Amino acid sequence: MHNKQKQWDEDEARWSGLMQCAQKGDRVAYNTLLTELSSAIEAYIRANFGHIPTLEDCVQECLLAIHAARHTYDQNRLFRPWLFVIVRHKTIDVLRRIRPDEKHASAELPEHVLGSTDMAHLERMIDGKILLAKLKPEQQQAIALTKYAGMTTLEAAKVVGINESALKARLRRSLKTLAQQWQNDWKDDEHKP
Amino acid sequence: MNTNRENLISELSNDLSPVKPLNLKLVTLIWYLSAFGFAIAMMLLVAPFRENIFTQLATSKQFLFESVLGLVAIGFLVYRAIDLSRPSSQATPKALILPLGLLFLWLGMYLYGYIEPALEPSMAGKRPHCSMETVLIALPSMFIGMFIIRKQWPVLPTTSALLIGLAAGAIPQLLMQFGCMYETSHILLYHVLPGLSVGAIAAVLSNKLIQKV
Repeated sequence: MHNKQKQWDEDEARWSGLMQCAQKGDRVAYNTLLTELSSAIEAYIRANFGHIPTLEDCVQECLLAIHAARHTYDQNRLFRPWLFVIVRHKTIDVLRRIRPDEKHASAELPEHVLGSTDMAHLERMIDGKILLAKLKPEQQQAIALTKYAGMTTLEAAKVVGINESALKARLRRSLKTLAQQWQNDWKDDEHKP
Repeated sequence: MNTNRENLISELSNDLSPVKPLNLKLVTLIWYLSAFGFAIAMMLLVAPFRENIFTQLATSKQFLFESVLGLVAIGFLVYRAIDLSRPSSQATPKALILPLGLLFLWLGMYLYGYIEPALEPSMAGKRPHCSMETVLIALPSMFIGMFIIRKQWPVLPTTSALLIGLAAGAIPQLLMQFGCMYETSHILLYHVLPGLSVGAIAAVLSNKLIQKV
């Protein structure tokens, strides 16, 4: 626990220092920072969403957002809360916006899972389901089918046995709940080592 | 790490230019003072303040208290509006408790005026278009505030806009108690209501004027 706290403090101080250098225009420091953060962001998203096919999109969108928002980091405040607010917003944004295409899904998921409509298979794909586990089963199903298995909303609607607009509404509600849930939970993750 | 990501990081690093972080307290203070300065100047262009305003502030503790409370509430509203425009752990509903609490406490003082008015109700100093003046004077400050918010990375754009709009509207709303007639119903209807409506205008315009991140 003590080591974890020490590591947490060291990361916090290093990232804060690198960002302050980046704000002054230090490219080497910025490259180091983004490289370290990209791994941290990937781990964070994976821990919350598992092997999401849009993981790489999420990480890259987060990096772009960090770049665009770098002037808003205040050195008198902790770095992690600043970082993870951006990560949280961007990830939910990507989940809302991007439908995983065939290429994405095929690259990440085994073939038997792609064709599967079995919820047990889909749930196993969400191996890091910290957040998803807090959703209602029908909401989990909507997200699993569209965001993990790469189905269109029409295909997912047929699998679930509801019409497409009902599925879209369910998906919207699920993502909204996820965003709220994440907002409630993130402090515990980021403030404590 | 995949090649795409490495390339992106290289591009972003090469594209890096120095940036200056916003000094929250300084920006808040500048907006606050300039918004008050602008509102006072505009009101004086239309008509002078009541002649005995300083005597009234000195003799009525309730009037002085509600005026100071208004000044403080506006300060907290602006500070929080700009603070919320940057990603931080402050971006939660809890952050609104203090500024909105102070605002409603201040406005509650005017409601209390129905029981015990701070000043003897009077038509003295009445301005013919005080409600319109309140809104028009508030708009430039509101837009400047929204511009400041837009330049940051607002996580809660509508909330930030609402707060800056409430602050912008509250400034002429407060000054009208010095420059227009003092009577509880008139204050609530022609000063407070138009002032609050600026908050609603800002919240509605936030979708168009402040990019959602």
